[in-house]
Amino acid sequence: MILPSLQVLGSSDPLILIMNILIFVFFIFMIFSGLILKVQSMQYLAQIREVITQLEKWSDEGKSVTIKMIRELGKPQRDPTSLVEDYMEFVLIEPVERDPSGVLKRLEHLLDVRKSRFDDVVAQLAPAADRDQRANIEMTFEAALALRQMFLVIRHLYFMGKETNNYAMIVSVQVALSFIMKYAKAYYSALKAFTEGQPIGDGTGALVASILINEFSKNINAETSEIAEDVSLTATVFEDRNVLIVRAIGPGGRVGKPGEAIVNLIKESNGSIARVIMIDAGLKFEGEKSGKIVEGVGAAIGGPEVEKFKIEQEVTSQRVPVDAVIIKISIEEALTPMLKEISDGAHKAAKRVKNIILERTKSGDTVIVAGIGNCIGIG
Amino acid sequence: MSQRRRRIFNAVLFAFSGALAAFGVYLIYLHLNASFYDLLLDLVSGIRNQRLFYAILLLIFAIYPALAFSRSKPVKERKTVAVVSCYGCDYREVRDFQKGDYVFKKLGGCSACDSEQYISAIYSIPISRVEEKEEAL
Repeated sequence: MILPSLQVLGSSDPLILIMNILIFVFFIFMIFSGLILKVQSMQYLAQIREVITQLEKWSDEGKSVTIKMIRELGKPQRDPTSLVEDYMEFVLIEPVERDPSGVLKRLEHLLDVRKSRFDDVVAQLAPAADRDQRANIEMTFEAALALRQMFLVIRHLYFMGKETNNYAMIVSVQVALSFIMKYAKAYYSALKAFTEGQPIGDGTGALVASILINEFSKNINAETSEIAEDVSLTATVFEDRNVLIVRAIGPGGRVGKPGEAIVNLIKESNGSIARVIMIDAGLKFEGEKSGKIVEGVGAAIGGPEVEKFKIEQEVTSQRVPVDAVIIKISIEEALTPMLKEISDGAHKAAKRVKNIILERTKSGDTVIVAGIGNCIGIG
Repeated sequence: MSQRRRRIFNAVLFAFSGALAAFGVYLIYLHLNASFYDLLLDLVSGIRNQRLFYAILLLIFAIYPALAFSRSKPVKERKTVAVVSCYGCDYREVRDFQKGDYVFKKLGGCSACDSEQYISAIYSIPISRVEEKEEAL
């Protein structure tokens, strides 16, 4: 097979001769004209265009789902479409990092302002919705906003690549497409979960806290109070240890400020906190099973690191040991309705937390157990 | 790409692949039904093998777009279910998720004992697994 192919122009059959010449000329032309790169760029641009069409469709669907949800739950007096459209491209300008001192405080302030703006808008749009429903509307709004941002960014890069005919830029976007679609698909699936109030993978930490509250409070009347913004504290007892369980207030879609809650508890306890145990969902490595439990030390909390910083500062100053229990999930699973494997993982994590309390604390100690995550669908 | 443009693109691609495949088959025909002159020529130029080479090349080119543009497998549909349990007995029921359900929601008295029923878990499973479960029941 190789030998005849090397016989370029060596045939006396006119058909083969013509084909040999054509292929020879074609390859020479492709190599020296740079047409190969152009053809590849066109192929990649077509792939990016397809993703943009999909993202635009999902973004529009996200907007219409949000509007429909507001109409159903909020019974607004005026049409919410224009206000929702206005907020679909809402931006947060991140603080200056060139002068890093106090950057997290500045970021927290901006995040607080952003949240209060969204709270106000949702309250204005959905006056008839209760607190949990408003939280779910806000989460749906956020998912729609994320889809819109993805669509705008990819479309921007597509036009830039097309205009400048920059092969490297087009290739870099094409390479990132599969990751972008993973995130986009996750946000798209999250729309349904948020609309219906279903628990999502990100809420696994909060679910573990709820399982423990349910178990420890079977025989006692546990007190629950709001200790920080959207965060509840349940004081329970387990094997002669005082267990203070912290989690976001459910079943609405909230994350709250668990960092602030932990800091408040440590400050109020006057040095009586023996240990802090944090439970959160963490990103798994490809090939790992979802719902796998991993133990470690440190503040197990994601997000913009404002809450993590507060916890780290307080536990360091008071010398309180921090344990972390991580339930492994993928990025898609974090935003989609909770899988059975992850729900089972939450029960295993609850057992692991009980073991940690028994093994690493003494009778009479006070322990903080913080279940981190979005409480949607978890009471 | 819009549906109409995709259909036109697929039709053109299909026609092009068909033409390549037909030409490839023709070359195979020539390879198999070589004349005495071709066989004589083949001794010095390897013309029959060249025809076979191009035939295979053309057939690969014809099949490639079909493989490259074939649609990926549809994603498995999933369904969210709620597990209803009882604080007092071993009662357990898996039912479809309903709007307003949440984990640890209290559902009222148990039909088997006097204790309270509650939702102990909410999770999503592939629809095929739901069907299997229903069949088993």
